[in-house]
Amino acid sequence: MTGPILEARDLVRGFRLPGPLFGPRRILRAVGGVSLALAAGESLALVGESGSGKTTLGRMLVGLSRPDAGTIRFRGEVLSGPQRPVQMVFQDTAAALNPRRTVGASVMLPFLWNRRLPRAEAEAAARALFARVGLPPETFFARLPHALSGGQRQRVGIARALASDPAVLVADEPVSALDVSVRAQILRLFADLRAERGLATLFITHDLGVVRAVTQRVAVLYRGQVVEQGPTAQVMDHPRHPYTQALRAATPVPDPARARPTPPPPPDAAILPGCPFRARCPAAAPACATPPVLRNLAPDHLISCHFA
Amino acid sequence: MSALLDIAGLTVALADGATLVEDLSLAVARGETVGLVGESGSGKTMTAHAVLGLFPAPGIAVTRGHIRLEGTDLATLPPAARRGVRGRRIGMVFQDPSSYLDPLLTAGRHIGEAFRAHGVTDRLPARVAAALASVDLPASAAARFPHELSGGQRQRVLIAAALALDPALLIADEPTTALDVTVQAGILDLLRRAARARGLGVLLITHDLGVVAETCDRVAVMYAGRIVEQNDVRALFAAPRHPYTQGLLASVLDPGRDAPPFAMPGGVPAAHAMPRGCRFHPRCPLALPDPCAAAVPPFAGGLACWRADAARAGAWAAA
Repeated sequence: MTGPILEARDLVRGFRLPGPLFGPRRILRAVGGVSLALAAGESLALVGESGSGKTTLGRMLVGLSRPDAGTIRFRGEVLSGPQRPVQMVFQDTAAALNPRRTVGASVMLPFLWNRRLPRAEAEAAARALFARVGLPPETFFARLPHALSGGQRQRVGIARALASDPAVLVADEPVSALDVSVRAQILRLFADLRAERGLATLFITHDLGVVRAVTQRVAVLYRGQVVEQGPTAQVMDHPRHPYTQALRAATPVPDPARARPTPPPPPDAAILPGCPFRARCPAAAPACATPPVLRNLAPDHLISCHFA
Repeated sequence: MSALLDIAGLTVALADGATLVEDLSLAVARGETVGLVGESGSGKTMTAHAVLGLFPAPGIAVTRGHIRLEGTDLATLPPAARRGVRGRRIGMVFQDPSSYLDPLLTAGRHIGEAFRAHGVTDRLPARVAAALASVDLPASAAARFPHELSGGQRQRVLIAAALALDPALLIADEPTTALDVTVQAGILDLLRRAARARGLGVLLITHDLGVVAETCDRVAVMYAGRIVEQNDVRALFAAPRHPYTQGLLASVLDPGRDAPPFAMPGGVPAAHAMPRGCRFHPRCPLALPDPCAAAVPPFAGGLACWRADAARAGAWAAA
């Protein structure tokens, strides 16, 4: 048994909020002590609403943002800064590509700079990747990003990530800007790539349908902390944390006969001490003023709730 | 029967003749919520622009058909009267609430602006408070700036402004797409209640079939500028008849079920590259060279498909 390929321990990241010119500045803790491990070839989902800290966590894992505390290890070695084996796929495909550079040139760059290939070889390798992600290179290689659809640009984004020959992909909402029929095509591509290259993938998403379709494990993030983590099917079918249950119940289903309940709205930013979900939790009790610790419900199922 | 909104044979085209919406007919009754569903490029937002008489770029125009609101053909109105209709008779809500709120105006000023624009200037504070209450916001929200509100609260402010003058029709274009699911449910509930309580007709434009299922009474599915299927919401979800509708429903990812994602091949064609015949035929598993690739299927009985009989068993069963 080998250890995890990517492991994060007790990651903390805060941001200073704009405040008064003098006096103490308020700090927003976007990520408050998160530990995660990703095995080779595994697909893990990181789920949460906006403001849960999932994007901040993803940026730290690929080295685009530095943690205030905690460590990230790749194959046991501490990572600092962006590294070739850990690559990111972004949500906003238009913003992720240089608008003045052909998409072919964007995919060639990692071959030229990271892998030091001569130009002709870099171009051949980039063209092969275009074909692999479903873009015939003779049609698409010389185009500028604006001449591609959102789905096609996301294929380019994936090809560019693959050009560094990564072992881990961190994909931040890679399909949430795409239409339903295109979304399924891109999710299939991720699944195929994982199978054929043994790529470990972290899917950052708010969409529980995406979670179920392409991941084996899921970590649920609330206000910068993991509140539940376990096998995807188990967490989706039998969510144990009240927050996971609320998310699950709020997911719209395409069936007019089944109306979803209207969940309690999230409260204003007031943060009570204790359990982070306390202010919204239908089952909150006095005990919740003490912060719960993440504990094992089962060997592979973690939860942070006094009552689950 | 007189529908609140009656669109018949609407065609919207670019200056060079390429059509963005073609021969679209759709009606919305008082108190009814009609979903207009489709992927990007299907023409659903362009249909809304046509109803409002506001196009996002020069050169786009209604070239055929009529749009009647409460019996009046909107196209025949002079510009000033058309402006009066917008806001007073038709309210609008869009996807991204932040970009429709002036960051330097409080929520109260913003809602008050909706009244003032239509010449209502008396008892403004009371009117604003009532508008806020109708979207479940406290009167104190009037003093808040957009950055002090959450995304869901901002959308509520926009809905309050849209409903301020008690319009007959509300056009909501992806009103919950930018919101978290837990917030989304509350906004949709608000729209449903407004439709019921005020007899408001709602045209809900969305790509999200889950949102349609729980909010709409009727649904029209658009593909590449045309309506391909239209039905009562329960019937449409229980027995989708068009291969495209069937494919869209199969593409929905259900968190409660283990299934690989279903993918329809291809994508929505661009306005200048519309296929001949049925516009869906290049992606359709049932398409035949004749008639599908040769002639536009007529829209009859809520469906525009040459292969309706074959599609009954499920167009994608073998895929």
